[in-house]
Amino acid sequence: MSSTIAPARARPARLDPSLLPGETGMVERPRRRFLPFDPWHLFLAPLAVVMLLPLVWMVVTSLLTEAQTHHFPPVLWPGTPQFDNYLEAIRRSAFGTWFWNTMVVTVAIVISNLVLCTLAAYAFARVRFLGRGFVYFVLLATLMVPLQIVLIPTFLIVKELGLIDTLGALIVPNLASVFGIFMLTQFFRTLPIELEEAARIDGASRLSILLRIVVPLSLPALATLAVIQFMWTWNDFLWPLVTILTNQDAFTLQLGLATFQGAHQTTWHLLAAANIMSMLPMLVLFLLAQRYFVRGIATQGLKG
Amino acid sequence: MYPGPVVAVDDLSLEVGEGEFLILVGPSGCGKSTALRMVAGLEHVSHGTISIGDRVVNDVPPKDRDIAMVFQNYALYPHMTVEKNLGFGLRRRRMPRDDVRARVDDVSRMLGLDELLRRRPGQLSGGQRQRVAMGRALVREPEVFLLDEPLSNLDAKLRVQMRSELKRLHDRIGVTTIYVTHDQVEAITLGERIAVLSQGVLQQVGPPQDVYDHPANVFVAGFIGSPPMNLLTGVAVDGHVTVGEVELERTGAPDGEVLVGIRPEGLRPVGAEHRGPVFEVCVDVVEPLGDEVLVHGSVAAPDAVAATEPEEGILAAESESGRASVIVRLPPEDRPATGSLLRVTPLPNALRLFDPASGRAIPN
Repeated sequence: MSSTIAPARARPARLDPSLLPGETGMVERPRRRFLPFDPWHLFLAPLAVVMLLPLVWMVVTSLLTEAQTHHFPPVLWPGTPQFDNYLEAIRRSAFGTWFWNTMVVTVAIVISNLVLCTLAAYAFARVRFLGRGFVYFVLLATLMVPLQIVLIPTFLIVKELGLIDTLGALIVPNLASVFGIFMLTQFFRTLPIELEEAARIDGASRLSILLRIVVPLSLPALATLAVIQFMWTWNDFLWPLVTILTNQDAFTLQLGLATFQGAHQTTWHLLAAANIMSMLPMLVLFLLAQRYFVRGIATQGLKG
Repeated sequence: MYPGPVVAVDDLSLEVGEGEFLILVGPSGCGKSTALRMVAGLEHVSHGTISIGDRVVNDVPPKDRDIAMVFQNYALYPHMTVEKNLGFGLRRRRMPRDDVRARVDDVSRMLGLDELLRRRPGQLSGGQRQRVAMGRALVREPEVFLLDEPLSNLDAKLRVQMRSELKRLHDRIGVTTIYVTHDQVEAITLGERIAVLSQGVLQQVGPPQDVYDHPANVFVAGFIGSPPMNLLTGVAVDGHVTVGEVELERTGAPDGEVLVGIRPEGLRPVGAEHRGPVFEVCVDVVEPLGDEVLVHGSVAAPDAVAATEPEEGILAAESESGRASVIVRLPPEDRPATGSLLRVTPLPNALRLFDPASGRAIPN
């Protein structure tokens, strides 16, 4: 019904809209228009500006001279953009090491999450075993426990494992996530069971069904999980701060960026430049996966 | 799927001959699909055995049973092309690539799918999808072919067309086939034998015409045939059955109450001069169907309606008006006017008698 009315609203040039059935199935009165655009834009456009402002300000700051960053009132437009700030940020810090470390940790976690959560979620969704409901419930319950509560116990475990001050401390506790298991379980349950039954009759093993039928049909969900996990890991500050104590070679980007902010002085222009560089991989990933990401969220009815 | 253990199929004993086309038919929820899924190995069998050939297959996984199944919603793999869908089962069985291609080509030519091999299921029409689902089963050359309501997702015209195509296909390849449907027309037209199920219990097995002509009980009488068999309550004394005021032919019924079943085409209109049993049908509704006319009316007799819904038991409550509804099938030229009185007589051998307590047929 809505598909018939939508074009009529967009360009009422040829057809009299009053003659077309509306969303209610009745003939709608033509709407009087005061504006050449949807009135919602009056609300949404300022909101978009507010959301974009911090980002724009960060870009501006990254192009200022150090003196300009301390100026009051704030400088809103750099006279000559200081692109050198970016090189300077890299030169004056171990940016390369941080970037590499973060990449290693993030990629390892994303891949292991995709593999482990898929396996676990498939078991919860399709394999019948004793205590399945109970175990699933307990897993979900852990989602409700705030990070602050498990921070110290997890730290102690990681310490026992001898991983403090290594990248392992960042990777091992996050190899699988309850959120990922939950999300994929819900998605797998929506797949028609007949497909798997047909594959069973066709002679496919459990693993083969998972790899050849379930996973290809779950690409939107997997892409969503990958992006979310990437974002969380890439941006995580608290856990690296707690576990990477002295070893600067194991610093992640977020830890490294904090070093621009000293007790007595903060080099804002360099911090902003480094920040923008640290955001780039996420932006690229998001743009690449956006199609899947949005569709994936929509399929599951989860709030992004 | 079900809360707690449910006995979906109870004490079902059936033998399907080599190359036979057997139809499992019954109302929805009667356990016919479950029975089929048990044969396929998708459902657990708590008691009894399932054998294919000489082999008991209760504990054999589906893939080793040498069966192929067509699902109601086709269950085509949406991310694979038609070609990959057809070849999936063969490739899982480690058949060499060239052999797979040869078989897929054969089957797709047979089903007219050769133009569609590169397409995905989403780009096919309902009929084409149905054919791919059939092809995916055929290509495996299984010992047993299982079809679970394969035509129910098609529109009426296509369904009739595919029905005859299915029959032709079976005549050609002659694979043992078990076909599940809730549509009794499909059952009668397709099957060599049909098995009628209700509430997980087998009601009757036999060639379609036998089941139609001699229903084993009231349920089958009401379920097979459209419109269903008319059921009237009568009384038998010394083998003479009386329905209302009408005395019918002599039968072998024991004394007492008895249910009389007459097919809609078992009643013939007669004039006033007719000697013999005559029902006066008060005509309520006339449905012209082109080649025939269905007359809905009532006669002065206690009503008895066969229940086709499982929860209603085998017999529904008798109506209290003292008039029983009947349906008469007439040629179009005999069409009566609404509100008129139609005099009909039962044809010889058209009467079927049932025991009102058990619902079972009483041999005449």
